[in-house]
Amino acid sequence: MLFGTTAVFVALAFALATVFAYLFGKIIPWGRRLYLATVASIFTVEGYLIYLLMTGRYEINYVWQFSERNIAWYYKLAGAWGGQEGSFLLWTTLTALLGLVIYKKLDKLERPFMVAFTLILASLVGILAFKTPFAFHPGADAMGYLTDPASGHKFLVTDGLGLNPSLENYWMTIHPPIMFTGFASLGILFCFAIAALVKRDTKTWQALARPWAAFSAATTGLGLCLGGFWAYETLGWGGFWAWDPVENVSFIPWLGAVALLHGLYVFNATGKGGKANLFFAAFPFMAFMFGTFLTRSGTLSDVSVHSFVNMEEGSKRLLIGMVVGSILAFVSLFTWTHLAVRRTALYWGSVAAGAGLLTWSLIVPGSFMAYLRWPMGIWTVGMLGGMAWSFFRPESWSVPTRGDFEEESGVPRRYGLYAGISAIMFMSLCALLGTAWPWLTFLLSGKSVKLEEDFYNRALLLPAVIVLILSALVPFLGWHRTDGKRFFNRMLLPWTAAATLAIVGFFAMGIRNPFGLVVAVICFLTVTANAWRISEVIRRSRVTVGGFIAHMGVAILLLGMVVSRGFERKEQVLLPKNEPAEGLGFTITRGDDRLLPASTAMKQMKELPITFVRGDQKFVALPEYWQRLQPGDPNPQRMTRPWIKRGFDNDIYVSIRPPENVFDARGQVQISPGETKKMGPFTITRIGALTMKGQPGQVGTTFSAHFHVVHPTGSFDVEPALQMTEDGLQAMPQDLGQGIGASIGPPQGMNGPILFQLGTITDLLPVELFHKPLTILVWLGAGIMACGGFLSVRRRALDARALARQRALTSHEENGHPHASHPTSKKQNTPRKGKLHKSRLHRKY
Amino acid sequence: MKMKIGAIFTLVLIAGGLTLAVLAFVKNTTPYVTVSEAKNMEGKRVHVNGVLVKDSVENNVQSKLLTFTLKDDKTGETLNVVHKGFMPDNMEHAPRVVVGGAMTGGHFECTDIQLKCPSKYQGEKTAQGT
Repeated sequence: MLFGTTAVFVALAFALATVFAYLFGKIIPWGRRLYLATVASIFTVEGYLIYLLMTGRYEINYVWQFSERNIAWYYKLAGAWGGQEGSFLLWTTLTALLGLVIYKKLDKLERPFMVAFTLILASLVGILAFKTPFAFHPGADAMGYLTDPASGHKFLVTDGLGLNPSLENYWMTIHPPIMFTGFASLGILFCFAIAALVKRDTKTWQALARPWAAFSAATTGLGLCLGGFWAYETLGWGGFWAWDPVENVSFIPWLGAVALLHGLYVFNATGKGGKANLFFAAFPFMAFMFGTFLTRSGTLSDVSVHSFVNMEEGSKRLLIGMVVGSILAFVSLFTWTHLAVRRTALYWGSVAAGAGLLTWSLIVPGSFMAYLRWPMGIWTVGMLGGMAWSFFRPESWSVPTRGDFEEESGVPRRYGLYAGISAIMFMSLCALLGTAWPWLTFLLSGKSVKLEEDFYNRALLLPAVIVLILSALVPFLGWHRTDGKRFFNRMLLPWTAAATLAIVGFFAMGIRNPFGLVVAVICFLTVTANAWRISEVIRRSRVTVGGFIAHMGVAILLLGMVVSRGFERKEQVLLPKNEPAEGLGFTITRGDDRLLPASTAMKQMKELPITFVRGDQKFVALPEYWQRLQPGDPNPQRMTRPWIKRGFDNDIYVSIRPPENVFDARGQVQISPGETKKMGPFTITRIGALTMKGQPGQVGTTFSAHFHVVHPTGSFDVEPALQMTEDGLQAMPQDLGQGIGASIGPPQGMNGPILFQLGTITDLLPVELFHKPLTILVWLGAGIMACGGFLSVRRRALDARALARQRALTSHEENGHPHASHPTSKKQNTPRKGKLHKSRLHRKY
Repeated sequence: MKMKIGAIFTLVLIAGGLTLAVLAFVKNTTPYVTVSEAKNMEGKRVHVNGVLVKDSVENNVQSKLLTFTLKDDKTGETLNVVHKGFMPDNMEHAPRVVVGGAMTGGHFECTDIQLKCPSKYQGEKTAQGT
């Protein structure tokens, strides 16, 4: 559609103009105005796509693919992020929106920050420009009409395919916007790091970025949890998390943002760790971009369920450009400002190699993999070599910290936090390694090697436990000195309470597993210790409790995940139509299927009521079974949706598979090849010997016999089969429709006689039951974590506002011009600012 | 002395964490191989990516046994795959399947199946009219 595509290009032009205005413009207001125009045009694009989806313009390929006429408005809205282009657009829109919140509050970092930020925006819009969601169907004319090849008539497509049934869930409307808000905020953290490096100012950004670090952590964390709930409610395997690459792509930056959050906390209290914070700020975005490349470009399509199979070539190049560009920018700037290597040929050589790679990947067509090895290798070796070289000449390190803090204030708490941050980053890097491993191995050897799920569970267990213990201990440590005895006394109550609660709780639940108990004690410890800390500090209202609440949430969430997955009981039951079965101690009876109202005739949605009775407990589960008929396809697409009986102490998770037909013989006759025999009204002729598919004696091999059956009202051919299983040969009856089927008995040689059976076919419903203890903790933990997180965002935002007001005041007194360009001298240091900071110290800690 | 205990404790934790991670890493790497390579790797856990042979899917609910045949894209070699458990939704619609498991006595015992379901992705699709 012309309007949409034009709007995309207008947005691109504005975004690029904004980059130049901020880069070269003498006055900032022009950059700001152009930024507003960029935002407005991006909003127009998003708004127009939503308009097209809402009004059902199915002549547009994207709308046709991800929406349909008769679905609820919120699913139509969700179509705006149902597909690849739409999700990039959502990411772009939310990035622009977050920029709107921050673009005037950047103090002296505004120019470099906005250059980097609008560059990211321009690249995102560029990706959309290569593949807009506004294209008509392939082969359509300028008005969107398609031509019917048979009759030559022109027609307009008037209904869409609709969302994939597995996406048709209320989470589809809620989860992606939250997740992408989190992703968009990672760009802001990255731009803070870049701006700080360009300005050689490692201090200003650390105060400004605090609310954003908290926001990123809280939003991405919430998004992760909601994604888990979505998987739990729809996918039917009974879990929240599977270490899928797409899940990891949000998990890795979340941990990075959490590390940054704590790093900023340390810096603002002690003035230490500023350099590491630059890395923590840049890392989440770089990791996210890299992960997006892995999962969106088709590279990992063999490994991930979520992965997109392919991406348009131009968009892919831009995405690669963003990955390489962001890593290149950060590492080169960091090396330039922090290491002595900058004046060497090594540095310039590696930067040139990196820039060459970037240009190359953007311009030259061909496989990225093929030419990535050498330039990337040279660049990496150059950078690492440069760092090593600087490392041996520490006297030449140029450290641009504007230190105005007291020396050596508060070793203990700082070290505790460092330990925690290291453990968190270790987890993040392990997950990154696991996600990238199939790609890396392919790059290096041409063969992909996968890291199994178990790798993550094992590698992350110890650091996770350490982080939990630290989050219980560190809040009790002082910034200065900690009196061992007093520390012990304060810890005694939370420790005892935690151990008691965990042990009593677990024995009450009937779980007696030492591993579970240890994890439970640690989680309870984190909860009680942080609760204790809240009770200590809440009276001093100025101190934030959001962080402690978030710690509690994480511990509860983790406990819920470990217990509900680790201590689940699982049973597979085949449920006949008319007789009860047993499973997990329940007597299970199947009721009559109920047809649900569906959006189109193509969709058939059924509810399969199953009654569960155990003692006094009785409930009816309503799992769903969907079929979608597609023109020209004999097999309907089938999908099932689990049903969950939520309880205070456990969830009963009922997952079904499509019902299968099972044979019950009513009449049989022994028959040899070529023979004709009568059975009641039927005349049966066996044609030929047995046909074998597969290897003799091997599991899975089938033997089928061919029969011609004549009966008074007509005749038909049947070919029932036997299959080799580990329990011997199993019959595979053939369904003849109307509840009648045919089967064969065990053969006597390939040419020998065989027992032919006619009988009824009834359907059996495969049901998988999960008993999942304490799943409620997952929900509770996620909720508490989100509340704590957003409380902390609020707190940091208020802090930042107060700080900005004070700084504006000081800066006004100093030179009367808040936006005057500041000299970037490292020595600049006013006693006033030092005092301001110290007073903040005392107020807060 | 106090400092020393702390340092030793930290070092032990770091060493322990790294060891666990390395062990987990070594234990859990499984290569993606072709059909013919899989056939020569009896008992070793691998992943095989292949084309699902049409009409080869046999699902026996009562014995909870699922069998199907995978074909190599290039060589056309086939692999008989056996999976104990229920059939995943939409198996018949998946053009490609990635199976994880090991060869045991002539067939591939598969523990996890990943379907490359066409409906989930944006492949080549065209509207067929109203």
